[in-house]
Amino acid sequence: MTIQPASSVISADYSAIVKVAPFTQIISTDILFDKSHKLSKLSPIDEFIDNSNKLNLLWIAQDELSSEFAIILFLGYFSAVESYVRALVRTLIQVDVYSQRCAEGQQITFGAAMHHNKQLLPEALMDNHSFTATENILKTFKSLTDVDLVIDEAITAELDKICQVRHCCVHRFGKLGAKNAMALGLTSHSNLFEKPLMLRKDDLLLVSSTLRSVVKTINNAAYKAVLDRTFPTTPVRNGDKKIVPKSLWSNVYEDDKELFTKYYKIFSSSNRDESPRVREMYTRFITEKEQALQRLSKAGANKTVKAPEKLPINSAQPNANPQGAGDVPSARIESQNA
Amino acid sequence: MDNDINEKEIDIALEQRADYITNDELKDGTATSDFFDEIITTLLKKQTTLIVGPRGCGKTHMMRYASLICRDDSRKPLAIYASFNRYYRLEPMLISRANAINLFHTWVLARIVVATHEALLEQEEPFLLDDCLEALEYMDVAELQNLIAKLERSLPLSQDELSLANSITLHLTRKIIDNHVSLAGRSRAVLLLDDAALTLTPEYMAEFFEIFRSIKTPNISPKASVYPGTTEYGARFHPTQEGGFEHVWLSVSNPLYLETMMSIAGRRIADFSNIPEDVRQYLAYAAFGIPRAYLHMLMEFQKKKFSTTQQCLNRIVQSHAEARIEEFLTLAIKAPKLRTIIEKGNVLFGKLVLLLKEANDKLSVLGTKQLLIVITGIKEQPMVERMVNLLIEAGLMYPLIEKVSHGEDRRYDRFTPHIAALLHERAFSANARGWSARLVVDKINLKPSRQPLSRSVSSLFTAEDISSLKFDLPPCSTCGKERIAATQKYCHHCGSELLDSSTFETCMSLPLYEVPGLTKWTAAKLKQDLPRFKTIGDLLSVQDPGTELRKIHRVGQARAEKIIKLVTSFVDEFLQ
Repeated sequence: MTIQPASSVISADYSAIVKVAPFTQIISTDILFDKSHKLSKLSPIDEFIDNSNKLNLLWIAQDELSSEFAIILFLGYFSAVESYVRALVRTLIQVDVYSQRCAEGQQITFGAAMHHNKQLLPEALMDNHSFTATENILKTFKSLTDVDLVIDEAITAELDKICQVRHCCVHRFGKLGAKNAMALGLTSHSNLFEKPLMLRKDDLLLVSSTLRSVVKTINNAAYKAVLDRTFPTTPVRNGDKKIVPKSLWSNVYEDDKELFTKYYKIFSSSNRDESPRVREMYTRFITEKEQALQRLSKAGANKTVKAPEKLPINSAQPNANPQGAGDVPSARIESQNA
Repeated sequence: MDNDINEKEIDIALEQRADYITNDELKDGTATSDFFDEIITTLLKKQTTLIVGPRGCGKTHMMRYASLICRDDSRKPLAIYASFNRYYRLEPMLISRANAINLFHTWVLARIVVATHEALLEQEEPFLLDDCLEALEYMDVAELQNLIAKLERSLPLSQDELSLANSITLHLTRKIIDNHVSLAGRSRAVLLLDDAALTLTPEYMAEFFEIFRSIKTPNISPKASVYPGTTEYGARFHPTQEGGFEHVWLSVSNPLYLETMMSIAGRRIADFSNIPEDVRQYLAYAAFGIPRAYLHMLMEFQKKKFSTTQQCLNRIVQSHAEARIEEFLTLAIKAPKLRTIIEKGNVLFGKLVLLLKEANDKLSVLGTKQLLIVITGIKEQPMVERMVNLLIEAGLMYPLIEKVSHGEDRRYDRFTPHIAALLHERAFSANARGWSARLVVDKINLKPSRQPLSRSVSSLFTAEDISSLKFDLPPCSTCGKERIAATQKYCHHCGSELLDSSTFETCMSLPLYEVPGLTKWTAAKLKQDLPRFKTIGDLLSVQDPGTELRKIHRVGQARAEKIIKLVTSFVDEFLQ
């Protein structure tokens, strides 16, 4: 009788078609996050720049990098974008009374209400929001802060292209899916179905700088929109009741400095040469708005349009209705650290 | 009297620019000569043309004159004149808007559409409003003008304005031009696109010449005015293939040089005939083919500030030569990365002037002169080539135009340095017993030497000089580390984005009191009465600069307007 060699399959597990390493340790997600981390005092844009710069340092000095590494970096850059949008919306709700008013009626989960501190509570409003398409970003701003971002289609189109590529990286290890191909344009992508993304150094450079420009564009557009509604220049109501709603500003820098600085700090960067000084930005804003009012009063010289009433100096709680409709709560402006 | 208000000086500083001359003055004040007639003919031809010349040589004048001729003759094409000298106002957007190039594209097309409509309205016969609206494809000119104004102030656009901006396409612009051509009863159009040398913003320049290339149809002939020495037209536009160059810069070696220059001055300078012939010729040579400079120097001469003609001419020519070099050096403020190249370029220029002076000293006994110098080996040294091109662009060196075969880039290797610099170095005064303008002019009028003076790049520069030629790129503004490459996007040390500064903002931060042309009285008054206006930007950024200026005692509306015009024209000059 011959002895049969021991079979290499010693298990009856007919599912074990590949070898699997056993869990020797379970993941304790609670220790994966840095408990000692303090909420950044950086503005959202500075935080974005900081995050992106850290990613840059991982590869910028290298002559070449693998496509896989480039794709991971790309996802990192995109994550920085999403993080920026969350930080900006959160900060706006904390500081800007108009955004606060818009967010007041929104619901959050009980868990978030129980455990978030006041500063981070607005984050809970975005638990169900994703920022993986321009439309989502614009909708979030509208629904949570009542801000209509005006962004050129040429810019949103670039972001949308990147969003499609990101989708391929997150869900298909970089291969082009049919839906993504359709969104990117079948004419030029129909022969690329299931082809993998090849990111070279120059491509990553282009994508990262495009994302940086997109974020800065969103930042500037949001800054403009947020400031615009604090200083209305378009009359509301009709006929004899036509009136330009009151503005939040006294148009005297010394009086407006504290309030304006709060807005300025939400959007400005403390990096050298990045943002003009607060006073200059104040002057640009007020000058432009005053000119708009002058144009309006010239145009309406023969029509009856009541000039806007100036707010009392140092008024941080104007009983004004900046949108010109509905009852308005007193304009409490809370500091970021409140 | 230096401390007097002396408004005339401000007038003189302004009145030589073709931009500030009225149509009637332009028509009456334009000299006719074969040289200029040929340029006008080319401008009206059915072909793409770049007219080339440095500042002040008459490019704007020629274009405006060509458009006036067309306006008054219905057999000629519809001439659409549009100036792009305010392009630099869009320059700050290059560091603040992701869609800056798109907005620039819109701005160019909007300006062309508005200019097209203006060209129609300038015709003698009236047109029906409905026909005009139809010709405009129902675009609202007022809205376009508002859009242009907003872009020139770098103001953010509203959603409606963005939609309007995106609706202005190249196709639509061509259609509007065609509509206007047929409404005006003309057979075709020439597009006279002035001040298209957008050398401070190569990004815009490439986009501009992409439009220039694409707007051309059998019935639309674009023409653009550019500076000599400029070779960066973008990747897709090849001037030698697309059309021809027409040189507006009159060479001092042209047989009709004196005649042409003097015929211009004869129409523009009062009492020109009372200026002695030798002085007229001497200053004509010193002007180096630039009519604006000639007119300015003649007016200076007429002031009779000095006791002798020699003293007067020496001072005028010296100050002109110095001003040209100063203008060249200010390029380093506008484009800081060119600082080293510009500084070395100034040294090279001085060297060439001295070499020609020495050559002429030797030639004087032979009865010939030398105005030409050949520099060999320029093509092999890109930084030297850039330097020479900058000297040409600034009008300090006249390049002898070489005939090249179709499709090739132009090559410059024979040059004449600015005659004012040669005169200042007394290049034509050797062995003369006494000095007279006549003696100098006679020497310049001598036959040229058979062979030009020749030097190689390696004899003009040491190896060390050549290796030190580099772009002066600013260090990272965040961590201060020097850049390692000219095209670097992020700092290799801290990862920060490397952004350039805005030339426009640099200009706006220049001291107001130092604007050339301001009288001492005005400068002192500005300092004393309006101390908060320290920079050009301080004055121009207020809503109504005129009202502010009128706060100065003895400055009324007219004088305030002149000061503003002077400051804005300086800004225009600085940034072109």
